[in-house]
Amino acid sequence: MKIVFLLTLIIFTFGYANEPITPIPLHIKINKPKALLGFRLYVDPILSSDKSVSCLSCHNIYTAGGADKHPVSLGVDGKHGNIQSPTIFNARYNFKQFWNARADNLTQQINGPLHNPVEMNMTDTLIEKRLNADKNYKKLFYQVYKTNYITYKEVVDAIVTFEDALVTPNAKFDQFLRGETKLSKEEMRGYIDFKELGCITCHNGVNIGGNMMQKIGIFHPFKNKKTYPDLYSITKNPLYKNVYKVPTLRNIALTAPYFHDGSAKTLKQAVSKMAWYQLGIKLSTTKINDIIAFLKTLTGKMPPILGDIR
Amino acid sequence: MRLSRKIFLILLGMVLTISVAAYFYNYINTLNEKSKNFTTALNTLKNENTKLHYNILATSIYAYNNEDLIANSVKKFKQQYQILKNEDILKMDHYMKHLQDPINRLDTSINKQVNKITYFLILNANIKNSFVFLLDYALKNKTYFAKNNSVKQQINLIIDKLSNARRTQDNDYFKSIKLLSVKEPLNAAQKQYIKTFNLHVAYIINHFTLFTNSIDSILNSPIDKQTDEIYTSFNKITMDDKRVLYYVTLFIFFSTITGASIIIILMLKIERENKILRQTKENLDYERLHDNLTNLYNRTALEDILKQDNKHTLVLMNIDKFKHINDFYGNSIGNLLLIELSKLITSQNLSSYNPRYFRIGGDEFALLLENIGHDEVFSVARQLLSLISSHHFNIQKINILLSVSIAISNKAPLLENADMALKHIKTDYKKSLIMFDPNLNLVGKIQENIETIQLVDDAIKHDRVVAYFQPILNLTTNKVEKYEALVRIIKPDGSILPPLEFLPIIEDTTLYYKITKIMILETLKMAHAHPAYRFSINLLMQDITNNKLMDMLFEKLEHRETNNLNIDIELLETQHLHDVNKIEQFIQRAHKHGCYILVDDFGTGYSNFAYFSQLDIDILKIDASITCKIIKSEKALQTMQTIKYFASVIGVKTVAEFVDNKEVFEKLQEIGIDYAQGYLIGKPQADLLSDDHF
Repeated sequence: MKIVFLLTLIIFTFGYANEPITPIPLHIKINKPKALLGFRLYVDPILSSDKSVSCLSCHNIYTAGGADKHPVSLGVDGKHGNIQSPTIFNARYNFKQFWNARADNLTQQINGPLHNPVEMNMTDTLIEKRLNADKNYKKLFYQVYKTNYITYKEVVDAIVTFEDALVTPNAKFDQFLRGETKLSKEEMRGYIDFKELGCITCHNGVNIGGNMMQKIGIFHPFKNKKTYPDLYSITKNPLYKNVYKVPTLRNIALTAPYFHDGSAKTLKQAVSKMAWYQLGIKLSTTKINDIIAFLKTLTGKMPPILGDIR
Repeated sequence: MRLSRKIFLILLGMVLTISVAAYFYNYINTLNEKSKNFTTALNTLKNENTKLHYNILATSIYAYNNEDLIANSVKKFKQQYQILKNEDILKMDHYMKHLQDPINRLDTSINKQVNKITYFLILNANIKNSFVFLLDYALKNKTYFAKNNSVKQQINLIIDKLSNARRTQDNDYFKSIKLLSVKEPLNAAQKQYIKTFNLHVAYIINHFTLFTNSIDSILNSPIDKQTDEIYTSFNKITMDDKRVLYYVTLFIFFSTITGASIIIILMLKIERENKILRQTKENLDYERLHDNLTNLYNRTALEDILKQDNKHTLVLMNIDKFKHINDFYGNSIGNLLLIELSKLITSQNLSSYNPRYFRIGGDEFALLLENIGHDEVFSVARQLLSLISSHHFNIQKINILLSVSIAISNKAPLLENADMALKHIKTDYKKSLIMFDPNLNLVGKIQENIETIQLVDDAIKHDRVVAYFQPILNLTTNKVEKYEALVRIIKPDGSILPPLEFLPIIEDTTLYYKITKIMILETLKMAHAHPAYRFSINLLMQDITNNKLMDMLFEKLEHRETNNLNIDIELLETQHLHDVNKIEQFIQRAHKHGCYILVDDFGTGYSNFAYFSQLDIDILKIDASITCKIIKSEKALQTMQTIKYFASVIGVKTVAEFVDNKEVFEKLQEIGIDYAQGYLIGKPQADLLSDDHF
């Protein structure tokens, strides 16, 4: 009896003031002409030095849930990146960008890959030069920005506008949160486990993650095969070794491989590893399956803006 | 400086003041706005910090929390800090100068705070994770230790203590916590359970101090203190600014007051000047239309009126022989006399004729009357004549008598006609009143006068002014004793011009003096030749007052005995003998030189018995008009008798003139008149009678 009383007490004091997970808004305001121009730039390899890669190359909105199937992405001249590329979907809801959260927003983020020598390897002037040489772009930019000279600022603005439009609303779980549908028994069990095991303490908010930093490997140290840019790499604070932004779990079923190093090839591996590193336990197959069933309800509808692209 | 320039300068000053005030007003407004924005931003920052604290506490308490709230809260906090840093007021140097350091400190604190929150969230999530995990895991002990109450109790105790520690955030609870341990032999699953359980308990215990410290550090960050510090510094600068603003306001206020005062003073000054101008204008108008001596209207006023209206009746008068009064007493007395006369004229009550009084020249007065008939205006004029001639003008103890001549005109042009009439009447010293009548042919007479003057002038130059002598018979002895010298002018054609035809006309000219001088010399010559007779010379008031002439006369008479000069003086126009004293002096002087004084034309006009009784006169010449009528008119006879009586009373001899028949002659003898003169005795001739006996 006592334990029941205690639990009641704890839940009473502990409880939660607001729903830890919130659905993606069904409607957001988007400047469509800008977003469509942004799409053109997003998919155009003109923005890479050798014209071999575009934003789409590493954040594939059609096949990889806005991420990359490769553990690390390939940049210009076939160069390898140093981290698994995170999904662009719902990136606007992340509190910061990049695994180590070094960009406050997408506008800052975009400078990273564009200028990174192993990614797109461009300069602002080169981008402006190339785009201004292109009659089509000149026309499109004129239509949207009423300018005769395309500047880097407008390029970023257009791409960010498009990226802002890349949201995946109306996932089954969102519908459940809004009381529009019921989860299956298995999915429900998974959700309860997700909470009871404490996953939700890091994966919460609209993006079910993406709103704080966390160390990977609390109870068992996470072994990196090589050096990845963690929070320590920026702050040089030893406490922040292996500290990364908690990734979003939205569309998680689509964005394999997982973790910053792409070391988890499947959801099962990812869930199992999380339990091991963060809880110090091995989860039963049933529980893993339940949790995976829950995670699959987080796959949303494709961004509406993509329907506008012809 | 000219007034317009002053006003321009003041207006310029006011425009400047207003511009300064407007600029200043705008400056204050902007400053207030900036200041308000800054304090708002600062307060908002504090609020955001408080919200952040709240969210930190909330997530530390609630097991399940949406950490988006913290992420957003941090974001908003940082944004708000950026807003604060970009506030316009910080672009003002003296603000930035004083706020730079506190803001830099705040900057550091905020960066630290953000880092602390990152670390806190890591710890927080892990502790919560373990805790949540443990709560669920604890319930599973039944699965592993179905019949072991000790395990259950241990677990309960641990969970209990962990919960208390977490709720109270007090590490002391952890000191007594013993990890779960079971002495009995355990299977692998049981071992694993205990191991996992203890793993999480140990994690919580090991990290809880860090966790609570982390919270404390966040909550006790100096951000609040630093924002307060910024607020205090800011207020101090603002207060300093406001003090400056206060003085500027004061300055503008007083400038405005001063400007307004100057304008008021200037306006008062303008008002005063305008008043003076108005008064000056009124005075000028008054002076333009008024005589400044008598305050009557002047000639201009009369002309103005007559320009518009000639239908009234004009009574024009001037003082007889005023020139001599002025010459004799001086202008100041003359002026006082004019003032006195003006008062006398206006004293008449003529209100029914709406009278207006004018002084239109030196001694010329006019009276404009409306709706007055012929007889009425004559009556008014006579009243004036009598009033003036009977008035004793007492000017500075000098008693002066005046007579005036009056011309009336009711035919346009009033003034010109009256003027002509007045000039005309002046030629006849026996007349004092005339009404203009076109039949008078005054224009023709004026021409005649001019010709006469030329004639006289010509006669003087060519010695054609001659003295005629008319005998005067002693009625007692019937013997001619005296001759009256009478002037005659011989015209170029040889005919004789009698004195009445030229004397009145030249009376006011220099010719008159020359004539008198000739007459005196001729008479003296004749007197010298005939010492048996007395010769009388006619003199006017102006002759008596002419010192040069009189000195000449009396000088000759100094030697009268050796030169046989028996000279008498006949005073003419006695109504014009204004000054009794002067006449008395003259009479005294004449008597001293053996002259008798005769008064001519006595009993006519305004001759005054009382007046003559004062004077030391020797002989009265009774006016011809009386003499002519004594046969036919009882009244004339009585007058003659009265005069004779009066003369005898005052011891004066009498002469009757114009005796031209025997009847009169005998009557005169009967009355007892002393002398007779006239055609019956002898006409005036260049030579004396051959026979003295009548």
